[in-house]
Amino acid sequence: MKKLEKQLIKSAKRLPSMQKELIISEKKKKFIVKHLYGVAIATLSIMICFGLIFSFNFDLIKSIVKTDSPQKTESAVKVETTIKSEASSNTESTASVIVNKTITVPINVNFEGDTSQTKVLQSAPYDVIEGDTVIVDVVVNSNTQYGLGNVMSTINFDSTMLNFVSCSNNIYNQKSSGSILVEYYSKTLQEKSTAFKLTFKAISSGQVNFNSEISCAIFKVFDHSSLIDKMDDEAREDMEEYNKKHGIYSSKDDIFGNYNSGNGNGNNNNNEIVIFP
Amino acid sequence: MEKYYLRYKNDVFRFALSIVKDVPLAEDITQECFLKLFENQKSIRDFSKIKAWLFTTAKNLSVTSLNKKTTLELNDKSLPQQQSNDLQYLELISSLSEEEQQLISLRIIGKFKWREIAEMLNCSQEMIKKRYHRALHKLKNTVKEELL
Repeated sequence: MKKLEKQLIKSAKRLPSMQKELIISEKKKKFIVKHLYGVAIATLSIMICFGLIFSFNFDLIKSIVKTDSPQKTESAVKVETTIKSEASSNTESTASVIVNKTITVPINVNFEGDTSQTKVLQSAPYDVIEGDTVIVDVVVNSNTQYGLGNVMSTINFDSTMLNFVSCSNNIYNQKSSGSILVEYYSKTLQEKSTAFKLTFKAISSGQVNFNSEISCAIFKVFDHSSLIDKMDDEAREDMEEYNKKHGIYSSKDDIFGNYNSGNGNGNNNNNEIVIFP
Repeated sequence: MEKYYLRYKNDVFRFALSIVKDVPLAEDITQECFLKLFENQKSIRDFSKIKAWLFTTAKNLSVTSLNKKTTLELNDKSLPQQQSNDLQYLELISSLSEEEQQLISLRIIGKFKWREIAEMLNCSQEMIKKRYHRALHKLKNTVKEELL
């Protein structure tokens, strides 16, 4: 049997050899070596460019943001850079470098006065590359004595550039591919501010900006229990109609309102309670 | 990558040739094996077993190619100008079944250890050794005395 094995080994060695060369392996090797240098140089260039762009944009953001009334908008831009590097254990392997950023776009709104109102804001353009995360940070404040009331925020964006990911507020609705409506219902007069964040992912590289329309329905609540007790049914109905027309909110069980003045203004009593239906 | 190609190309080629018995096809299969190695190198964790990986891939590609062929024969036209002695190995093992030919080739051409062959074929070492010796015994009975 060993003789046969030896004969087989001998005859196997006489089999023809592989004549063709694997040309692709050599080309790939050169491509890999070149690619590594190219990627490193490209990454450094991109990082330098972004650094320059953001340092210039700091002042640009202040001048471009438009509001109905003068207000301060903070233009802090946070850039977090993550570099992922892939390499296998093989010495002749491909390597790729990916740089991702997280950009925060702040939108601050202050409402003053005692009437319901709407403000339209346009953010400055931000440069993004595919894969970046963009967070729109909205803060709405009320400097009135009446509290914040209900806040409806519509954030419009370019859906060819950005994909909507999530909202920190649990009451929101994606009205269309490029528009998100976030709703906030306050429950007491003491609530003077609200805030939420929208997270987006950049699906292409380029410039993005946000157009937001934020409206608040400020509560106007007065307690005139003694007056209401004296009303007849017809007067009550008239008052309800008046309240609805002028945005004066009522609880389910009690009716509040300044019927006498007709414009919704009046004095607050200590018994003010807001229960929004 | 290149070092693996230079080290194993002939063994893989001869192993593929022992199955498909067609030189151009065996060359294509060999190239395909190394191309797959290049494409999948990131997913290979243990490069010490790369030879077994190559031979297993060659076996699978060879069997797939055989299934596509309608007739199986030694095609003299596809062979370069070789003396008939160069193909003696193929003639020697031609009387065995496909599984036996592969087993013999893994041992003779691939020079794998019993443990490695058992892992590749998903069998125990004892079973592999038994099949191997049975195949050799069968070969001994069919091969003519003058070839030895």
